[in-house]
Amino acid sequence: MNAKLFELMIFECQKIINDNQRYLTELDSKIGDADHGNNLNRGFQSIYELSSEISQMSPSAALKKTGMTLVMKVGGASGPLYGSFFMGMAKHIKNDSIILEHLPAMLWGGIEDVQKRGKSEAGQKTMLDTLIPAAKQLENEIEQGSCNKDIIENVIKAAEVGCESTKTMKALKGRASYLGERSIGHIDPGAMSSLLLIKAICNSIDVKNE
Amino acid sequence: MTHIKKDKVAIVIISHSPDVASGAAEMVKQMSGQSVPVKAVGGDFEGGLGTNVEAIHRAYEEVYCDEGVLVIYDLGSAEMSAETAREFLDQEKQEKIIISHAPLVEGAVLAGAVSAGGGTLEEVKSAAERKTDTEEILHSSEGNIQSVKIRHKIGLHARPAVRFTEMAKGFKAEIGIKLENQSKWVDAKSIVRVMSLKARNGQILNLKAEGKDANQALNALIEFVQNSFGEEQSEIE
Repeated sequence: MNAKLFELMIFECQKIINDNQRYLTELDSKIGDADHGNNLNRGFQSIYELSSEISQMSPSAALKKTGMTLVMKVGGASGPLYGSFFMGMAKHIKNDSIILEHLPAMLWGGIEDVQKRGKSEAGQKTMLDTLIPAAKQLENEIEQGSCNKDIIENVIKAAEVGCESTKTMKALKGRASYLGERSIGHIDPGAMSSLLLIKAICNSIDVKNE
Repeated sequence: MTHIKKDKVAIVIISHSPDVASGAAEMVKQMSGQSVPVKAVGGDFEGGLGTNVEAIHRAYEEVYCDEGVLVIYDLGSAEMSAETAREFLDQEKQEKIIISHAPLVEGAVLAGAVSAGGGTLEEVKSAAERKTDTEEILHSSEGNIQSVKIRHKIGLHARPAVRFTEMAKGFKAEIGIKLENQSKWVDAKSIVRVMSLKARNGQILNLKAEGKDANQALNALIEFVQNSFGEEQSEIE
């Protein structure tokens, strides 16, 4: 993982969140407090502004800094949750370098911290419903020895299916849970932002390797 | 024997709304005076509705004292922000900051009252998190009833009320308490109810209990009241 790729990832994440800011807020207005797009955008904008600094850091320091910036700048529940995700990944880096074979362990580390922070699990209409299937898929693809192109394609697909699955779920966590049955029929904004970020990160790898 | 405390337990109130947080803090100060450090944190980065980890972290640093800090919040994501902000502090400080699920306004006011009375962090927490009482004993005419006269110059005030309820909670029996001249029994295990009796020196308390250890419970509680709540004081009556 080199500095250039890291910078590209940050750029892609910032761009996808910025492009979908209104969409995320619209999703959040259906079942939440209508600030998800705005909040996340502020966080990724701050990271983007720090990108030349972050990209010079070691992978674990870069992930930590990313997580910390999200915690401090995003606010609401998504700040602490996304912050925990990136900081959780940082904790599970091996030898302070990111290689494909270690990526699932890092993702599971991030997911574990999100679960702890949110006191939540899969199936409760949250970002976990995107992240967990994506991590599982990545693990499977690596085990099968798939090529990068297939890995990326299938991980995105699994994340999409996971995100879409939140539509029929009843929210059990966060503000949306106050709506009970009325939360059914809407995609969870956190599941959607996780999908967008997975796409952004995969896209930056795709571009790099072609 | 009396432990003299330098500080009172501090209270941090976190709300998505700056107005709610500062309003609740104002109510605490009205009840508890200036002796209890209270800090209100509300709103997001632009002053709108939301929570802000940085501001919460600053509030912790500002009010932190060795007696501890009780944190009360309004909604789910405020709890997450409260927990995240706590993790930025030294381990030693983290242990003395308790995040409570108490109702925001009532919990904060009760916490303030007990803190002002010199309550420990645990006592302040249990005061804030009072349970609603549904004990049937309170409505039944059954049960063993005993009376005791309060012998403490400032009555059944915050700190002994906390100890009294903690002691009552140690028994399985359902326990009711009231002033002799009142008809309505209240739950002796509820700090809110016991404090709301405003029982003063010289007044007679009625206690009743039902359950296996009812007699033991009554004996222990009566003795506690008779002994001026176990507090040393120079001028009894």
